[in-house]
This record gives sequence, structure tokens and C-alpha cells, in this order.
Amino acid sequence: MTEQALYSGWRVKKGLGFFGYSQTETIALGASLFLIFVIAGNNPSTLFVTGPLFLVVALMLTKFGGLSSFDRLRREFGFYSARKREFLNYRTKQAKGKPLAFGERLKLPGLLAPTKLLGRRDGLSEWGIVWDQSNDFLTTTFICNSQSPQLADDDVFNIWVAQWHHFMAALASEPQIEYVTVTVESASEGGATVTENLRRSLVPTASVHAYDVLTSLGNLGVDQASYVETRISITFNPNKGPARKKDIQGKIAEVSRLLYGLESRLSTCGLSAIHRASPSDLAARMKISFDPAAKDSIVDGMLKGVTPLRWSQAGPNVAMEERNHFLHDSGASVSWVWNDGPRSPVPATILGPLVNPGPYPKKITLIYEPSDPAAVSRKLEQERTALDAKRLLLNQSPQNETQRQKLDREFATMAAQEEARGAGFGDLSLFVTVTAPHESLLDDARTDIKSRAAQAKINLREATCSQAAIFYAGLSAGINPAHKINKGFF
Amino acid sequence: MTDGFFGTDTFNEEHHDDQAWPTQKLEPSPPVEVGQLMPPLPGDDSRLDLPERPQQIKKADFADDSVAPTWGWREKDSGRVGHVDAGTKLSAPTTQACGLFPFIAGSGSPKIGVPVGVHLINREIVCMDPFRWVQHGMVTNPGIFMIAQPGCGKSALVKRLITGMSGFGAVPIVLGDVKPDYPRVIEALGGQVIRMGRGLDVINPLDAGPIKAASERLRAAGYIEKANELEADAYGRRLALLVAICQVGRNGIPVSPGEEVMLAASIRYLDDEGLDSPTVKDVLHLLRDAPDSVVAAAEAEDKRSFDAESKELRQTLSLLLTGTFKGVFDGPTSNPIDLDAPAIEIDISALARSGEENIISSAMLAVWAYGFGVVDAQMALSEAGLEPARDYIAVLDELWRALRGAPGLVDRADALTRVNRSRGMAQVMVTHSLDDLEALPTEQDRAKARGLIERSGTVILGGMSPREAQSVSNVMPLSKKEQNLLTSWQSPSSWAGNEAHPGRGRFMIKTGAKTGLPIQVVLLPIEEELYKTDRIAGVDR
Repeated sequence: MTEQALYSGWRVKKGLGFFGYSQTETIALGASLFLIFVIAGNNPSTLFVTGPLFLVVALMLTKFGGLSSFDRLRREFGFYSARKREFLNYRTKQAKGKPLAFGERLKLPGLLAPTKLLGRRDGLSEWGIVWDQSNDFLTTTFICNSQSPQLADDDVFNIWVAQWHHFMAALASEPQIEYVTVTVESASEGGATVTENLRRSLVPTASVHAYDVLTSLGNLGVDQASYVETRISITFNPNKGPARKKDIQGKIAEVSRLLYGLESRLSTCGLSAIHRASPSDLAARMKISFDPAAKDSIVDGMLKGVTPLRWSQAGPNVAMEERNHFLHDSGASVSWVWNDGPRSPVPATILGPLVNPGPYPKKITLIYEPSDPAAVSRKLEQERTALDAKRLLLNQSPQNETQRQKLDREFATMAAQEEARGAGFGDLSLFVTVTAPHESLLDDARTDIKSRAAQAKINLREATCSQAAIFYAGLSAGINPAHKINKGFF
Repeated sequence: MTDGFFGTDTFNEEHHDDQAWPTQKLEPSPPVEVGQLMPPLPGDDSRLDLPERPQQIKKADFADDSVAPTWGWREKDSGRVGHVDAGTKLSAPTTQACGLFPFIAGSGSPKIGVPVGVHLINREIVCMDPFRWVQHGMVTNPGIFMIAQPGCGKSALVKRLITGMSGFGAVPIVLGDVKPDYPRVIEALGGQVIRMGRGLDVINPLDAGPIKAASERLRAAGYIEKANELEADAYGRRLALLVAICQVGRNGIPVSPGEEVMLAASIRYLDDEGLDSPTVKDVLHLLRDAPDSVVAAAEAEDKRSFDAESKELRQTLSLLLTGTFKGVFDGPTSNPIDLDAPAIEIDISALARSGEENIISSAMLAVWAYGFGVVDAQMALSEAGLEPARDYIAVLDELWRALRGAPGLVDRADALTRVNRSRGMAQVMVTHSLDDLEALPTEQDRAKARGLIERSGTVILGGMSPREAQSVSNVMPLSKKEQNLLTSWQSPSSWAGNEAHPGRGRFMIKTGAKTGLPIQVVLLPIEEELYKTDRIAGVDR
């Protein structure tokens, strides 16, 4: 049997930061300290003011649990002011029971508001593109099945993982690709697909026994079984491509050209039945995320060929963002972001506990952003040098260097080495959203996710005051919170 | 669940209203932003600028062509976010980043067909339907081969499958049930149960009744060629069967070509006489009488040499009528297959209880030949449009017991169980262990038996020993982990004694080289009830 491959080495980029501050923060604090002393040299009494002020600022910037007090204050303030202006609630403007006129478009909530869903037909199949007009990004999604590594031989599985590495590494050579979002969604099976298939297949002449067995089996699904779906969304920035197309058609054509290659490369990563999500697939999935209780009727409607939902209708009817959770139609969700990945070398199955189906519907979203290969080697070398310099600066001999610092430095060296050997380089973010049917069950859902994260050796932090934004990241609409930190005043 | 936070009724209404949308009123298609790219889809979101909006709704309630700010519309109840947590970015080279491999949840259990169980790892429902799996290109043929030890509930899985398939309109036919495992299920499905045995129902190996009727119907409807083909086929099948039974009857000593010619000539003669279904007794009498035409057809010089040559054959036939086989094959078919029955079972447990392998083997062969012949005839009729088209799912349980009666039987069995119509017939072959096939008398037989597995589109495996898992993987590629899983189902992990059989109801469905689907069969109360009574009546669990 092949030996199990282990992986490690993800780290937060720190540069020449000291005492847990980032490089910029360190420079700013150092500069102000210098200034304080210069001023104090002229007038020492100012120290009574500047000293405590400096300490307060320094303390504010110190990170506790992955966030500095400054961050915390900023988000509380943003949240408070948005609540004060009654922005946080959402109510669809569609009058109850009144159909939308043809061509009418509802306003979607929050980060979804600037998005539009476009469709394109290639040959027989039709696929959807989410156009985020706020930054002109285009996102297409592949829906696929992943094969269980539990039963594949280790060497086969290692090949899948290696192919995923090749896939990510190759993204660096496509400047239009901003990021790749992998969302693994699992939920308990409402039984709609199975029930509908059974209903269609049953013949009128079936015996009573066969009828009883089949209809009972359809209902069996509800609490017995689950459903898992893996979606891979690729977000393009068409303005970065070599052929800068002015109009959206040209941009989509450009995207379409790239998709074929990506699709075939993905199929080597242990994925099967890869297909592009159609506009109705995307809209239905978003609607189900907001209104999980309606899943069966939506799936049933899709199977029966009911007119598909429009994107603008696929939002919630009512939603309320709270500090620590997000309420939407028939669900209540909590979202997390990761603070840190596994520190120890881990096998590639480490995310298993997190992505495998649990008692509540959940979405695990992993976003990979490739770095520009030209800039990255320079950066990595700088980083490594910075860490070495820092060690020298603090006159740390290997003995009094803390273990974490040592590990960090090793990882930085390893990254520079791997990069030099031709590996791609990029940033990973992970978001988790769990949805319970009712607010009162959220604590139970939280416990479940926390224990899963612990098994996966991932350190999660609840996305306080940002529950809606992280929820949107799991919708395969191409929303990456890291690209949305600025409000946009236009 | 449905009375969630805000309820869902609003959505449902909206959803149904969608159907009433004037989706086709596109006439003077206005030039819209991406119109050329757009499919003619009502879900299409980009055709915004249709001129008229209903008066009741304020214009401000809808998005116009202006683009929303990044965080959402700056207005009351717009859902605009108050803060965006950017998350934490961890950098890593892709050689390491790939270690956080997200594609491990496993999904893609087939959702088409009879729900046979729940996926052991990701709890998805796994469905099975050999016919539609072929249609959807998931397997290359509808054959199913099942290897599972006694006691792990394999008959429960087969029962579930045939019950479901019968609900889909297929006709389950259980041919040669030795336990019997299936009579109650077949009866529950409203099917016909034929109980073969001494003093019970007799199946005449030379019976051509239903086939003759079918070929006459075909001829009457003008399908002369089809009718001829069917008759020729029936003739060949009966001859193959009689030869096989004779061979089993004389403990595996092959029937010589000369003897086969004699049998062929006799059957032909009796057919030409217009005898609807000659019996073994008729053949024996004919060989004794030896009319000239038979002598000539058998290439014998005269009656004397014919008699000398046919002596052993006559003894064999007489053994079938008077020896240990007495009461099994002598006489016309007493309870013919009812072709309109929704399910058919031929139970040979009465014969199996005698424990004489020769009798079991020949009885199974006879049942297969009879059953498949009838189905073949019925399918020819439906091909000609004289009968509605139906799918058949045949269960051949403990098939090795038929195959090891005499050398060369695998070939014969292959011929007997073949149907000319390529579609509409799925065979479920069940055996306890590959060792059963390995115990066949000759290497050729063993190779051919392995071919039976290779040719099955789907293989279902139950708990098995490591050695067996290894030998299965020679025929059907199994990964090490799959082998380990199968082995772990074989026996309880502790001596505690109160543990349920770890492999009970657990199976792995393999199709080609794809990763197996490990399932747990969950029985419904109504099924448990039905199968329990079987358990009391029969032996297997």
C-alpha cells in the first residue's frame, strides 16, 4: 500500500511584522513611537497624553481570537449604523400573490443586489453566468459528483489530489481567472427526486404490494438519507484578459473559450458527471438556500418542467440579519470564517468531517485565489528574507525562537522552495454556513459544526456582524467576501 | 419543518404564478443588453426594459438598469449589509494547498430506479434499475451478478429489487428456487407459483406448448420468418436441454454425437407427427420402435445397428423415467406458465430437499430452458406488436448447483438462458461464493463461469473472506480499500456475541471499474413481515 501523503504549510502572510502585528501595523506603530519620542524630547509632559494613547492604539490593534479590537469596533459600528438605518432587513417588493410582469426584476438583497444572471446556449446545453456588475466579474459554475476516496486506493486518491494541485497551479497562467470557489453542499434528502422518479416509473397495473413498498420507500428518504453536491464556480475578470472585450457578449465569449479546458482538467481530480450549471439550476439552488423548506416543491417543479425561477425571484421573501445569525424565509443560518488551517501535516482527507453530511444543511466554501506568478516569487523571497532578518534583528538564536515562529519560518522557506520548483501559489479562504429550520436550533447546529471543525483541525471564527455576507459566499454567485470589503460609493 | 421562520406559502404562490407568465409574448423583440446571447428562457433576467409595468407596483420597488452599490441598495428593507468579514487568507503553494482537498464528500448515487438502500458513507439513497441504467449509459448490460454469503440478507435485496421492478411494470421470474425464498413475495405481487416435484407440478423438458402457440399466432399475423425462427429456436433449446439432462443423469458421461443425432431425429419426428408436447417417455418409445425415418436420420445402416447404438441412450432415458429421477420429468407439463401473470416463480425446493445434486441440477436446467423459452416467445410476440412490450427480470439463485451437475453445462446453461431479444431481459445470478464456481469440474467450465461475471453489467458483493475478495478482484477490479470493507462485513468484530451480523444487509454495488457503492438495505415493516414468514417456511435469511 502506498504511504499516505501529508500536507501542511498554509500560513497567514506576515512579512516583517512584529508581536503579531502585520507589516503595515508594525511600521505605523514604530513610526508613531518614534514621533512620540521626538515630541517628548521637546516637551516631556506630552508623554502623559501620547503614552496612554499609544498604548490604547497598540492594544486595539492586538489580535485576540483572530480579530483586533479595532476590527471588532469597526464591524460593530458598521452593523449598528446599518441597523439604525433599517438596511439589514429585507423584504421582497413583490406583492403577495401578484406575478411579476414580464421583464420585471426584483431587487435582490445585500451583496446579491448588483448581480444579474445571464444565460448562454452552446450546442444543446445551456449554462448560466452570474454577472456581478459592481466589479464586472463573471462567474460560471460546474456541478459535479465527487467519488468517495474512502474506497479508492491511496495511490489513485493521491493522483486526484495532485491533479487538483495542477489545476490550481495552472490557473496562474490565466490572468482572467480571479478566483475559484468550491462549495460542498449537503443536506438531508427531502426525497423529492426519488419520490418523483418513483411516481413517474410506477405503472398503473402495479400490484398493491409493489405500490405500497415503492411509495413507502419514497417517503423513507426524508430522515434516512442525505444529499451531497459539489459545485465549482470560476470567477473571471474579463477586463484582465489579453483580449479586452468592451461588451458583455465579447466577455462571455472569452469566458466560454476558457471553460472547455478547465472542465476537462477538473475531470481528472476524482470528479465525475461534471456539467455546467444552467440558469435555472443556479436560481433554484439559490432559492433553496434561502427557503430550504420549499426544496421539495422546487425540485418537483424542476422535474415537472415548471417555468424556471428568475434570478431576481430566487432571493428570499423576507430576511433579517442579526449579529450572530441570519434569518431567511424558512431557515436560520450561522456562518463562520476560518482563522487558521491545520497546523500539523494532515492527509488530504482532512476536510472529510467538515464536508460530510450532518444533521443540518450546510455549505463549506473554499475559495482559492491564484497569485500573479511574476509577483509571487519576489514576494516569497522577501517574506523569507524578512523572517530571517527578524530572527537576526531580535537576536533570536534557534534556541529562544518560539516554536510557532520557527514553524512559520519553515513554512515560508518551504513555500519559496516549492514556488521555485514551479508550484503555483495562492491564497485560500474557507467559509462555513449551517442552516437550521428554526432559530432555536442554531445552538445545536453550532455545536455540530464546531466539533466537525475540530476534527478537521480547522480553527473557525464566527462571522459576527457579517452573517449575511458570508452566507452569500456559499451561493455559487461568485461572491468572495475578500473582494467586497469596500462599500462602493458609486 | 414547513412552518419555518416566515413560512413558505408566499413563495409557492409565486412559483405557480410563474406558469401563467406571458412567456411567449416576445414579438417585436426589443434590443436588450445581451439579447443575442440569451436563450429564449422566461427565467432570463436580462430582458429588463420591456416598456409596461403594472400600475399598482411602484417603480421604485424594482431594480432598473442602474447598478446597485456593492453592499446592496441604500434603502430601508433592502438587506444591505453592515459589514463584510473578509475572512482570513492563508497562503500556500499549490503543492500543499491541494491537501485541503474539498472533493471528498462523495456523491452521485444513482437516483434512478428502485431505492435499494442507503449509501453507507454519505447516507444518500441508492437506487437500482438495470434497464434504465443501460438506457442512461451507466452500465453496458442489464445483467446482475451477486456474490454473498448465506445470512447476509441477499435474498432480501433481490426481493426488494424484483418487487420494485414489478411496480415499474417488469415481470420478475424466479427460475429454480431451491429454498424456497421467493414464493410469498411472488404471491404478494399477484404472481404464479409453480411447485415442481414428485407428486407436485411436472415440467416436461420437451414441452413446446407456449412456444408453438406463439409461433402460430405470429404465422397467422403474417410474421412467417419470425415464427420459423422461434420454432427453430425452441427445437434447439429442447434438444440442448434433453442432452444436458441425459448427461447429468449418467453422472457426467458426455452424450456422444451419435446419440445427440438420435435425440434430434426423435424430437423432429415427434414434432412432425404433430404431437403438441412429446414427453421423455415418447422419445424412449420412439427409440425402441425405431421407425425408418429416424434410423435414416441418425445415419444408422439398419435397425440392428441403430438399436445397438441407441442402447445406452435408451438406458439413460429409462433412468430418467424409472430411477432416481422418477416423477420429475415423466409426463406432460401440468401447470404451464401463465404469461399474463405479473410475476412467475418455479419452486423446486421439493426436489432440492432430496439432496440429490443430479436431480437439482437437471431440474434447474429444465426450469431455465422452459422459463426462458416462454419469455423468448412472449418477447417475439411483443416485437411483432401482438402483445404489449414488457421487461423481464429473471432470478437464477444458486446457479452453481445447476452448473456443476456435469462438465460442459456452463455452455449449455448459457445457451438455455440466452434470449434472442437483446433488450427487455435482465438476469440476476446469485451465488454464495466464487468457490462455488471454482468447484466446477473442468478448467473450461471455470473460465466460462468467470465470463458470466465479467459479462454482467453490475456486480453486487456481500461480506466475504480476504481470499475471496482477492479472487473477486481478479475478475472485477476492487481497490484494496473496497476489499477491506468487504472483509470487515464478514464476521463480528468482537466475541461479545450480542452483536448483529456486521454484514447483514450490507452490499457493495460495482459497475465496471467505477468506485463501488456500499449500501445498507433498510427493510420496511411490510417487507420484514413478508420476509420473516419466508424465513420460517424456508431456510435462508
